[in-house]
Amino acid sequence: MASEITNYQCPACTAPLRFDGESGKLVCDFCASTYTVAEIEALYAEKDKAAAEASQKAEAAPDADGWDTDENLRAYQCPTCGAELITEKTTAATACPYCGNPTVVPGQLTGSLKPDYVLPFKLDKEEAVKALHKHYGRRNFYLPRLFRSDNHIEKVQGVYVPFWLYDTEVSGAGRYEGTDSVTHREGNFEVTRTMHYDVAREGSARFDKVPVDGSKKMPDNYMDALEPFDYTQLKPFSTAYLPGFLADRYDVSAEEASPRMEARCKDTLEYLLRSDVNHTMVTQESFQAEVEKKGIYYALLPVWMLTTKWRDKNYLFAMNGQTGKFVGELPTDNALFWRNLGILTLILTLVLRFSGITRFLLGLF
Amino acid sequence: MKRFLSILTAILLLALLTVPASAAETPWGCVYDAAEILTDEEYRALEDYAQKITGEQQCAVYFVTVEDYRDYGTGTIFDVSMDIFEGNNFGMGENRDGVMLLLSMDDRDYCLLAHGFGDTALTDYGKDYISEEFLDNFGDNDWYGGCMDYLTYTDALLSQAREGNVFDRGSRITGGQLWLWSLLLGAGIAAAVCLIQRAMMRKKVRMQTGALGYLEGGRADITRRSDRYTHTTEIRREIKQETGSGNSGGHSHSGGHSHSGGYSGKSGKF
Repeated sequence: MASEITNYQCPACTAPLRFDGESGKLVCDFCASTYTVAEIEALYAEKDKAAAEASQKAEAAPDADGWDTDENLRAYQCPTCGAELITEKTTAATACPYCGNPTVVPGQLTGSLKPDYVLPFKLDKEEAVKALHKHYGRRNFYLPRLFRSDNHIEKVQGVYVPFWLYDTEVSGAGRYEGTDSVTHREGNFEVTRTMHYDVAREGSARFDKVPVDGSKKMPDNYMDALEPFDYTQLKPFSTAYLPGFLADRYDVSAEEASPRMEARCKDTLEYLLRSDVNHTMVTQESFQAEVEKKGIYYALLPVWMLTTKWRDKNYLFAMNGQTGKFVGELPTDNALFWRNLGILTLILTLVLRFSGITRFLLGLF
Repeated sequence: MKRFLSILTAILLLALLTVPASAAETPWGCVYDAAEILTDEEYRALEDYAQKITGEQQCAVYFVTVEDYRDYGTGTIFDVSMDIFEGNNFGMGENRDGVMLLLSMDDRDYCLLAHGFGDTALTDYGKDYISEEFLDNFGDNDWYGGCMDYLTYTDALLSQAREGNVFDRGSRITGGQLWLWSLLLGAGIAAAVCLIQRAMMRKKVRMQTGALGYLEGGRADITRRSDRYTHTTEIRREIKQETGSGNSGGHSHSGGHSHSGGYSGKSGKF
């Protein structure tokens, strides 16, 4: 049974609207009209509410047409062309594969699933592609040539990734052995005196909005590496920021994501207490810490995901949609690696042989 | 006969130290055995061999033994060796080219001294090399064998230096070995460079381990600081003195000495 979804349409020409990160407004690509988020929110408030209710009913009702029997899939009807859209159960915003119009699934982001904040995209697709080429590096000797060609990029997609933001206070205590040494000469002896100290430090640290991604689909290392985000730009959540981008609701709960945040905060306090010990040599003997959560926020943060393929292997890249920070592992061409190794070995062998460095080094032994 | 020569040698060494040096161009003797450790045959054989080397290399090669070097001067054995060399007008030619090995039997001290071309031919590394050859013989009281080693290897190093190839660090390595080691070193360095470069260019994506960027106020609130002194430990390490005490040990003196022309030497125990 298809659920109802929202397609933000231009009030002037009814063409689909998309959110433009640069201007921070919703833009109609057909008649060039622009609308603020507040204007569109006011226009679509009732429709969004109806869509959310329809979505909740659909979730509660038994399957009628067999389309959404798979518990990970859901079916929607595109309001523009009427096509039936099959999406993952967590999808909150997508585009119709038939007419290409951006659509938002409000039921995915309402009630307990409604995010507290959204950080709107600042950078567009073009900048993501530019950043990818910059990421390859001009002097990357081992990057396969095919990788540099434009048409090799398979997919570039802006995604609002669900994140949990934790306000926490960590309290902890560490014990250390500290030593200070003084060396002086007594006759024919060099005397080193070492003073030993039993050291203890206790303290606490408060952390503000430590992010942990709440999506199983997103690799944790990539999401971590995209930090930091500028939280001063956080906006109260509105679906009006979503058109033109993909969005998922969380499928990792705040409790499930919490251990990653706790480990990071404890590590930081451990480092801070250890840094406070002022002896020449410091050996940590123990450290214990407790984490107290002061606040948990659910936010959608902007990420550009880029995928390429090389030798049947997918390579994933990600860019912070706000700051432009780019991460992703690059493949290496083994043939180029061995060629470079051979050339460098030859050059170094000749230099070492004829400069006398080898003779000098061997003479040391 | 041998005893007579020994006494004469000791008297001569002492006497010559007190009179101005003559300008003799060729040494009348190369082996001075005041400590009487050599037999007559050994003495003659060594003297002949030393004279032969001296003639061929145009660099005087001396072997001197004494009961106690302190009877011939003050200071270290190196200082006394220089006094003996200068006082006896040792060496050949304008630069007083020469090499001298002095054995002081009472405390088993030795000093290998070089001057002029001898100093050029016997680098610190060369002196170490020669010392290694004779010290094992002297350690076994094989005076003749040790002296033969000294003369033989000194001759070899002087020859090498005459050909413009001064024996120094790395001189014992053959061309093939040099190529092999250059290749191994080159491959090792190249592999390290390429692997580091490749790792950097792969741009591995890592998880975050800390949260310093989210720390309020940029610092922790330290509520307790305690640094309690418990005890002191002490380590005493003996500083090695300039006069070495090991059998095969030793130390090198090199130029910059007050004596003109520049001496270099290696001394130690045997």
